[in-house]
Amino acid sequence: MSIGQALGSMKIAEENGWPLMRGERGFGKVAIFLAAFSAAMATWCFTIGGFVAYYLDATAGTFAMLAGSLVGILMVTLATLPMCAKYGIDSGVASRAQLGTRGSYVSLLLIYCSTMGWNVILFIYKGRAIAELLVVFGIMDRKYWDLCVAIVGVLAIFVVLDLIRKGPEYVRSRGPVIAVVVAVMSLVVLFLLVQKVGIHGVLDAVAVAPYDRPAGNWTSAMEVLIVVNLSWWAYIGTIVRTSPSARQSLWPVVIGFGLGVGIGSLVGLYTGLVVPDSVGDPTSFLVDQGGVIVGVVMLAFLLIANVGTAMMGIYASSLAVRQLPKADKLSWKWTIFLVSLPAMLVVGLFAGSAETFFSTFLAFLGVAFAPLCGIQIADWYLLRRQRYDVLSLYLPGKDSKYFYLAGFNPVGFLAFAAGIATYIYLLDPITYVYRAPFPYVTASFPSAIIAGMVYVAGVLAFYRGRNVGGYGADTPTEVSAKPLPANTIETKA
Amino acid sequence: MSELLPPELVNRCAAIQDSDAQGVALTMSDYAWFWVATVVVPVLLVILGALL
Repeated sequence: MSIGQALGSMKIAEENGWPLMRGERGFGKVAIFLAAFSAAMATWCFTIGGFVAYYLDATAGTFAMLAGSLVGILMVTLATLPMCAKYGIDSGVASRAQLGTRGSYVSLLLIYCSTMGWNVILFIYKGRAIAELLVVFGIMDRKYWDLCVAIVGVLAIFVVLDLIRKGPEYVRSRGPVIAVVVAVMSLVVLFLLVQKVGIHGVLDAVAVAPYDRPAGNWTSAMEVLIVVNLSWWAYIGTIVRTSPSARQSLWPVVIGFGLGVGIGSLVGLYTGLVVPDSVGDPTSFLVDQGGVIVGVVMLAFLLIANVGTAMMGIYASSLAVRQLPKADKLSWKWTIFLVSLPAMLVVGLFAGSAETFFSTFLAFLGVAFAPLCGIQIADWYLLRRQRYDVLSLYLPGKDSKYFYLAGFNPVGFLAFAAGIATYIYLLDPITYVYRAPFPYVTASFPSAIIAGMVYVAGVLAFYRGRNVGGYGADTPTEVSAKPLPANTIETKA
Repeated sequence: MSELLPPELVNRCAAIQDSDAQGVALTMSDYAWFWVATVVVPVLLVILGALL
């Protein structure tokens, strides 16, 4: 048997979340950046910016959003990039070391909920914008608005499914084109907005519904960007595992995902300030002001903007679902269809509740991913000395070092719960009312820190020296197959 | 034990433990600049934004 046969098909390994060898990974800096940027730039940026407009004016909001997007990418990058790039695995697989082989189904659920949640928002907003255009142009009566949103949203899902059914390579190859087009179109939208209201119209607009205390407004605005960046948890692992180097991936991730969403959301901030009822979406305002030509520009933007992001979301959630027992028996086409089915139902039936869904979804992102990031960072850097036993990440039974107690790591879940409690104490995820010291520390960072501290304390107290969880033991799990010399591994053509 | 896993996956798990098959790790310099970009710069942005 040749070495290539021993490792099997790289395509199958990629689709099932198996480790990718360095020689198999074909993504360079530019490709990583464009994939990240095309995922970050979507119409959700309007809504994110619109949310910030509740708290801050244009000048302060711009600084807060850029700061929030940079500080937000810190935690999620440390929690995913080093291990995913090292072993060629995705974020869900990496989390088995902390949550347990069965406990990591929770992280798969989080991946699914976060990626499909974003997709639901994208498809609803796409449907709403196109419905608005049809009404403004007199093509459709407003009484059919809800129906149009649902139909357009579901149709858009089918379009995206058609694009990604050809597999991961196709997703990547189209990302760069979409990223460039979306960046140019965003500048056009920004130019149109400033042209209509003037620079002073933007700068003089006041925040829509600020708190009394400036610190609370600043931190609330930054928290929005932090939790949005935390939701890249699944996306970052999916992308960086295809790059041969963490060093090559670092800055493309920081700029593409972090700054990408921050800069992209500025249009939403300015729109939200100038047109307070818009919640950041400039479609209706620009079409009202600019007529048919502006409407066509917006339509083109909306048709293209969400495709890259939605493709990446369905791809990441499909990878997560295929890691469930027996799920790898499904074909790729069936996987992406079944993964998208719940999103179709939500888009088709609940398209009218987008605003409520968005704020609740943002809160969910912070509550769920901040503690997970804290646990993973503490585990990787403080406890495991930046090493995993890779076979144990995949073994389902007691032979895995990460089996813990019936496949669940009690310490991991205790730390996770402590982080969630911390977040909810500092910032009510439903009402967005905060408690001290939130204005000075955010909710995400204390949540991550507490979760990480509880995890470290729990591991030191219960696992060290007891041969549980692979802590303190460097011996790799035995394998029945003979390890292959790495320098003979087949490289990608 | 590993009979539950496809042999290709087992081989991949063994092969990836070799440092030559792993992705190139971040260096201390990378971490330092990353810290500057994601902690120092945001702090400066907040201070600057609050002053304006």
